[in-house]
Amino acid sequence: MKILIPVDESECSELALQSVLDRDWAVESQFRIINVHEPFPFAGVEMYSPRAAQSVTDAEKDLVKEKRESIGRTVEKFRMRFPSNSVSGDILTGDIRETILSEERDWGADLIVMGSHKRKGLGRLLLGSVAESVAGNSSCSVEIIKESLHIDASGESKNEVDTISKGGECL
Amino acid sequence: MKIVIAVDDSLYSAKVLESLSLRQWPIDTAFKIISVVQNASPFESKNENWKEFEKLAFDRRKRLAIEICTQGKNLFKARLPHCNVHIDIREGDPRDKIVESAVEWMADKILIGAHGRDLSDRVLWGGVSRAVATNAKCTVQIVRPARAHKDEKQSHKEAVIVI
Repeated sequence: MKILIPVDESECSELALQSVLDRDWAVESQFRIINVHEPFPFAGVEMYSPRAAQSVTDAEKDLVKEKRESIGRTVEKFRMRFPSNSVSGDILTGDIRETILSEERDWGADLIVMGSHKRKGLGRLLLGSVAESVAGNSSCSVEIIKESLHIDASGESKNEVDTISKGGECL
Repeated sequence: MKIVIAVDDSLYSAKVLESLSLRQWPIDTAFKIISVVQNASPFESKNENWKEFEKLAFDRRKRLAIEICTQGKNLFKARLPHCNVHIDIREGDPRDKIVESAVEWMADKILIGAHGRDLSDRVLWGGVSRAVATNAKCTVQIVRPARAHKDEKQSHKEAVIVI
């Protein structure tokens, strides 16, 4: 099984990564962690101020460097946790949704695991809208991780019975 | 871990169940297979014959839902004897009832097919799965069994040729 995990620098992504790390996966599972960098929308800024253009370029370089380091750390963490599985990580450039979807097709992912921001239409990177767009348009299964109450109720699930709401007579 | 699997009476749902039963699950996993039976028409008719027909259609769908869930339960029990499985059949709007059922049971995750009976492969994800993904407080996995998708497209093509 090939698992693609698109991340950004948010807590939601951390949650998604943690949920993958917490599970046990088959030996043949492969993981790919990607961080999509959207180029800064400052094309042509040098026409107005060369200094501003330089600072924008520097800021962008710093951001990509930071992202690369963060992906490196995450990949290392995955390799420690799953020593027998293949783990790769990369920084990709382009539109977030399109890049995730094209990576899913090119790599042949079976499952995408991603976090979802609770806010809609606000915030900076992987928004709820990105998760929604990926879930709607991908050709593989998509898991949207949400912050939930981690209640370990495994013990009390033993006595569950089948329930059929009113009108069970049609059995 | 408590997992809700939402299905309807479609071929796609049967394939979703099949593909999920082949996955590896931890020993303490508990599954609830839920199917929500919805009324056929949103309006009320005074015509007795129509009421009779509606009731028949509803009962048929409910029987089918119970059948699919029971089949799924048996499949899970056979392939995953270490896991707990039970079924839950509800009546009403699937969008609300699936989330409601997950909240009541304090589920950790909802697994739902990308689309079901109401939508063909033209639409990549159905209204129910979209609503559940948006409204659920827990993790939601939109399941697309790769082979099911292809098979359904194939059968769709074959059907067109027959017509």
